[in-house]
Formats: sequence, C-alpha cells, structure tokens
Amino acid sequence: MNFASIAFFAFFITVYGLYWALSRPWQNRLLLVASYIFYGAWDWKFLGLIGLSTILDFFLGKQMYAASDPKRRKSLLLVSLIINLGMLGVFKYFNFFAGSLVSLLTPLGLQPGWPLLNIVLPVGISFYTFQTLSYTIDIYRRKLAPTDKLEDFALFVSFFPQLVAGPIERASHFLPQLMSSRRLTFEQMSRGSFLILLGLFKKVAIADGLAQSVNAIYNVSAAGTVGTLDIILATYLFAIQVYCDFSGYSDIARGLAKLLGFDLMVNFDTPYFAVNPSDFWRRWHISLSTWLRDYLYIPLGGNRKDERTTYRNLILTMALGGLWHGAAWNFVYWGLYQGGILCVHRWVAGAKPSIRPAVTLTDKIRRACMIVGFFQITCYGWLLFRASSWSQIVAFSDRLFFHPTWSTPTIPTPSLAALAGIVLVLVVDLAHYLSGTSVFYRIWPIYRRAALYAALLVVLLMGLSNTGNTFIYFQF
Amino acid sequence: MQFLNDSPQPQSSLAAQAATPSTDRAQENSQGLRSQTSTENPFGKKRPTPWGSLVKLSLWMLFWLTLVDICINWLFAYPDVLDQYPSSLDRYFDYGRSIEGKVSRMVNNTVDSSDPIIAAGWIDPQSWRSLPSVPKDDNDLLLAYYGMSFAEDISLALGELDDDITLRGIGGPSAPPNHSYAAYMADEAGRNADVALIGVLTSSVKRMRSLSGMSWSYEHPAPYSYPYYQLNSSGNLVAVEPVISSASEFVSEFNRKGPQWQRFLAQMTQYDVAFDAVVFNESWVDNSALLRLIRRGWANRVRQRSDYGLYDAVTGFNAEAVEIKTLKVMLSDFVATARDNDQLPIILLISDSGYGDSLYKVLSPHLQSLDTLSLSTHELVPSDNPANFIDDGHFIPAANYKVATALQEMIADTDVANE
Repeated sequence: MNFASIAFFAFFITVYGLYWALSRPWQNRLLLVASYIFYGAWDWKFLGLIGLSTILDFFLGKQMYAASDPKRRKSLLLVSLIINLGMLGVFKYFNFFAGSLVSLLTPLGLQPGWPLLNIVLPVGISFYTFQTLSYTIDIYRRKLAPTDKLEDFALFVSFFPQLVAGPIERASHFLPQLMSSRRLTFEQMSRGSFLILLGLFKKVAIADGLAQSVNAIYNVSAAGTVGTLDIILATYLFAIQVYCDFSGYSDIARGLAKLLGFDLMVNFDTPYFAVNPSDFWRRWHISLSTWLRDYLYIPLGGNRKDERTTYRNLILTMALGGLWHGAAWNFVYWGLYQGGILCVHRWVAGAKPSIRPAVTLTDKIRRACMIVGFFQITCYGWLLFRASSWSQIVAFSDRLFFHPTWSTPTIPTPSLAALAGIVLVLVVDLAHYLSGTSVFYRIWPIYRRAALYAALLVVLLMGLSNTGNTFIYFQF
Repeated sequence: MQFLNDSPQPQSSLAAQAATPSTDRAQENSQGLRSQTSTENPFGKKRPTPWGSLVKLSLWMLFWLTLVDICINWLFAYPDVLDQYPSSLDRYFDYGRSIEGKVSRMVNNTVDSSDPIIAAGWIDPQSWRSLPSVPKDDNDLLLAYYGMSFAEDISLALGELDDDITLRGIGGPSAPPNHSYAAYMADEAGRNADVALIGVLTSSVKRMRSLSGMSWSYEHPAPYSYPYYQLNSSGNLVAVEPVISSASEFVSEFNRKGPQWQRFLAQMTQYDVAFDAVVFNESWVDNSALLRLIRRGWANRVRQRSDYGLYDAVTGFNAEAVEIKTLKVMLSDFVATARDNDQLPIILLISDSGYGDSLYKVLSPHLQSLDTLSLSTHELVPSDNPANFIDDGHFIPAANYKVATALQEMIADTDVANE
C-alpha cells in the first residue's frame, strides 16, 4: 500500500476516524491491527517474520533486563543479534553473497553447486530489524528499561507510518509516546497536514516526474554509448529524485504520525546544503547515521584510538551502511566512497572540524561555493548508488573524467511538474536553511503561508499525471 | 568525522544536535516559535486563535488557487480555431479536458471541415480506394503494410531504399493489433500485394481490449474505431464490431448524440477496459484548469489499472493474459490468410521506448512455430537508448532506415523478390 495511492487514503481515513473515537489502550490495539493490515497488504507471509522478531526481542529484552549475570545478558543479546541479523542475512543477503562467491570461485576453476534461494525481500526488513536491535542493545547497555506490554512493543516495531522506510525510531524516544495518552492539538494537525502535503509534493510531482529521465540514461544497456552531458544531467536529476523520494516518504510518515498524536524524529535536514561529508551525514538519513554511530562506529572504537583505527572504523561503518541499503556491490562502493571522503575530510580538516557561521559577505560566498562544490562530490556518490553494474560505473566514470564527449543530450525532458517542483523545493529548502528551522513558514504573514501551500498543491496536482512509482527505499 | 563523534570531550553543537532525536518540537522550541499561550508569537503581536487562523488560511488558499486557475485559463487558453496551433503549455493544461470536450473541439459539421485526426484510422475500404493496388511497374513488388506511424515510417524508409517497391499503407494513430488485423482482413484490394506486413507496436498491445482510439489515447483522442476480439471456446477469434465504423458516421452521430451514439457509448462501457465516464463525459470540470489536472491524474490511474495483469515493467508481458493469447491467434490467422493468398507475410514487432524486448520475449516461441518472416526492432534499435528516439517518441530517421534495410534484405532472400 503506497502512501501516494487512493487505497492508502481510504485506509488511513478509516483508521483515523476510529482512532480518535477510542481510549488509549484501544487506540494502540487499533494501530497494531492497522499496521499488520498495512504490512500484510504487500504479502501476508511477511507478517510471520515481523511477528517472530517482535516476540523474540520482547522476551529477550525482559530476560536481559532481569538478569544480573553479565555472561547471561551477553548471551541473550547474542541470541537477539544472531536471529535478527540472521533473518536479514537470509532474506536480503544470502543470494548476494552466494552469487558473489560463485563469481569469485569460478575463474579459479571451482564451481560450487549451492542453490540460490527463490525468495522475495520482505518490505522494510532493514528498517524494523535495526529498530528492534536498538531496543535490545539499549537494554543490554542498561540505557533502557523494557516495556511490560507486548502490544506496545509490537506497535513500536510495526507502527505503519514508518514501518517500511523509516525513520528508524529509538525505543527510548518512541515507546514512551506509545505508553502515554495523547491528544490532538491544532499545532500537530497543522504541522502534520503540511508535512503530508510537502511529502506528497516531493514524491508525486518531483521524484516520480524525474524517474523516467533518470531511468532512460541509467538503464541503457550499452553504457559506453552514453554522452557526458547525459550522465551529468541524469546524475543531478537522480540526486534530486532520491532526495525527494526518500525525504518525501519521511515527511509523510512524520505527518501521519503527528495526526495520530506522535512525534517521529526528523530524518532530513536540508542535506544538499552540506559543506562537507561530515555535515552531510548530519543532514541525510539522520536516523540511520545516528544508528550507525551509536551501534556500530562507537562499539568499533570510534575515534577514541589512533587515527589509523578511526579511519578503519569510518570505512567499515560506511561500507556496512552502504550494504544496509541493498544487496548489491554498487551500494558497497557507495559506502566505501562515503567512508573514503569522510577520511579525507578528517585528514584535511583535522579531528574536530567546525563550521563557522558565515557573517561577512566573503564568508557567505565561500560557504555557497563550498555547498556547490560538495554537491558535486555527493553527486558522484549517487552515480555509484544508482549504477546498475560495475561496468556501468567504469564506463560512466571514464566518460566523465577521461574521455568526455559533448554531444547533444538525449535525456528525456522531465515532466513540467517535476521542473516546477524542483524550483519550489529549492525555495522551501533555502528558506529552511537560512532560517535554521523547518517551521520557517510559521512566522510568515498568513497570505504568504497560504501562497506556499497553494503552490505546493498546484504542483502536486500537476504531478498527478506522472507515472506512479514505488518509493525507492522500499527495496531496502 | 563529527557525525560519528564519540569523543568524551564536549561535542560541537552540530554533533550534539545529531546525538539526540531531533523533532519539530525541539526545532520549534529552539527557534522560540512555540509559546505556552499559543496566542502570542515571539514578536509580541497578538495572534488570532488557531481556528480563526485556519479559516483565514483556508480563505487565502482559496483565493490563491482561484487566481492560479484563472491565470492558467487566461495565459494558456487552448485556441478555439482549428487552424491555430496550440503551444506546448496550452496543450499541457488542456490534457485533463474530457475526451468528449476535446473531440467536440475537433468535430465540425462534416468530415472535411473537421480536424484531420477525425478522419484518420477508420477501417473503411471506401476511403482506401486511392491507395495503389498494383505495383508501379510490372516487375516491382507491392508491399501492403498495416499498423501505425512506426510501421509507416519504416515502410516509407523501405520505399526510399528500394525503388522497386510500391507501398500500400493502412494504419491508425497508435493502432493496436486489433486494428491492423481487422484492416488487413477488410482490405480486399490489398490481396494483390506480394508482401503483407503487419506492425505490432509494443505499447499498443495494451489497447487490445478497447474499441476506439479515444479511450486509450486520452490526451490525444483519435475517434477511429476497430473491432474488439475475443476467443471462443475453440480458440477462434470472435469480433465485436463497433457500432460506429466510419468517419462520416462518427461526425454525424457525435453531433446528433442520438440513439446510435448512446449505443456506441454503451458498447465502450461494456467492452473497453480503458473507458471511464469521468474521463470521457464533457462536464463543468472542463472549465477549471486545476480540476482538469485532477482529471488527468485520474485518467492515468484508470490507464494503469487497465494495464494490470498484462504488463509489468520488471517482468514484462504476462504470457497468460487474454491479450497475448488473442494476439497469438491473430498473428496465426494473418499468416495463414496471407499464405492462402500467395502473399509473403511479415510480422514486424516494434519496441517503443521503455519496453525493451518484452514483446519479442513473449511472442518469439509462437513466431517460431509459425515459421514466418519476422523482425523485432529491439535487435537493431535498442529501445533502452534514448538516442534512438525523437522527442515525440518515434524512431529517429536513422533507426527507421536501419530496420528498413534489414527488411529489405529479408525480402530479397525470398522467392517473392526473385519472381
């Protein structure tokens, strides 16, 4: 059930109407049933996996908290890690690793005959696995007390607005909200509605409107025939597409949650205004980057040891972060690239780089140049992310850096809605960036706010004729 | 790397911000945009109550939306005069007009005084009398082609490459195989042709469960009709003939909106999966630019819903779909009929942009079993390369010549060319 569909609209309206007519325990039960219906709409068989993960971590969490023996606590954590990561490994990575190993061994004359699994990747498994892992790890670290109510925990794992593509919530942030009574304020309704409008606008008008142009270049089977300008344009457009697709989803998820009386964490904070890789990861997919920091980078040693270990930790964290996105080598390359530029930035800027406020005109110009410059570096990363094969990465990189051909671009022009939407999203993000808050419009005069909403709505209506695509991050 | 900064030393403000889940509430508080009373703002002015603000906001939004609607209608007004060509933006904001609304602008009192699209594509042998039915020269070949603009462009390129080929072409805008097959069967004069070529456009296979170029080509309706084919229990084709079958009949019935027109609409409702009353019927919605945008979105959803079960961008065509089964029988009939008439049948599969080799994949076993000449354009002109297409989606001229050359060589290797 796609957020940008009539079926979801009908589903949400029904749930919403019932939700506010019920008292809190029944509200949670309703949301749990609705979440399972929402998830089961993809494939009811996936419900078994999410159910297993929920029950397992609920009871492991309770036992872990009650146990005083560190060895027992550790072994319980290991059980949680093995089973959760095991499910992720089997369903998401088995074919990838098995296929890669076959490719590696075949040139050596070895032909392993293990079978590939004929399985479909359960939607959102990477998101809810990380969410449940944070719960058990936090209990193990004594940072969190487990919940006593299975239904609250089950809802924490499966809450439908963020179930399939995040934000990856932390139990310490979200469980208390589930356990307390809630009331709908005017502010929440207003902000929630705005976020839903903004998210739909980003997804329907921009991301879907750019997909055809990007696919036209990245799906060419003979990558060597694509011209330099086509690669540049398609990569810029993909940078916008993936941002609008993913942040659009997050906006809708947060907006829906607000209408239900919850606050989900902010997942994007004007990422393309980043001036360096460190800044970028504070702005892009914040729920994942903080998860990686807390549960992978820091346990690896973080930057507490020597520089070489810090670099290793950075590379390893980002490579695994890349692999989290999908079972394909291009995601690993993208992760390695991100790790690499973080290392280079740390090496150049020092251990504690800081971003000074731009006060003078010279500072502001320098900052603008840094933003534009770093965007180019980000975009090359998106080329790695979007590429369909290693040979395409090589061919496109060769065309960009070593053998450019400046023929007339053949990339199809994006839809008018997407072009108008890009301008509008730039205005919105610029206002957000300059004001330092995502609710910048609240201090605007009411006629100007209304003009912004109307503009978003008009471009969204224009985008309704774009071919609908599923959200890119559903595959992760 | 500050985003992963785990140093025991005090973190920078940005790192600290990332360390705790950030929500709107936190952002609002940090900006002083929220206040306890909620009727005051940080700038000291009294604000109206929330519900008062909502009413004001709604009225302002209504004002802006109305203004936008009026401006679009004024700036991008679709020209009323037939010979005045609309700009691309005029067309863009008019795509959501109802089919009936669009057609009524093109129809006049007679076919001749109407837009040329009204006369295009009808399966009406009377209108084919001016087409060549014998070769230019006794030694020449007469090639009759049935299809759409793609088939026509390739055939014309073939005619340019080979002076000894005389062309006889019958087609309709984006015509589905129903149309091409029915046109071939109805073309008695075309039986004299040495070669009969049928073009199957990949994107048009989806139109097989329709009766007219109006329902599927929502944005550019072409009113021509064609039979709807079903398979009976013995696997033979059964045609549902359209109630209106010629341009003159269409113009007359459309203007009159009499019982015949109602029967045609009823027939479309029954058989045409892409027919939708909201999309088709002229109404007051046509007057609002923004409502037209909504209808255009709705029309796209209707079209996508109609595709369901036949084609998927990842898996391609469903071999079990009724359209594919019907298409196979149509192609078999076409080959058998052509052979019965001593013609050389050629099946040309045309892969338009974005469809890859999906049609070839689903039909190639059947084509092999027919043991007939066939060519799929994807082998010569990959449809995943945008360089092979012009802006309107047709092949570039070089691609047409490439396919035509392959056809020329194919024909040259047969007895027909050597007789």
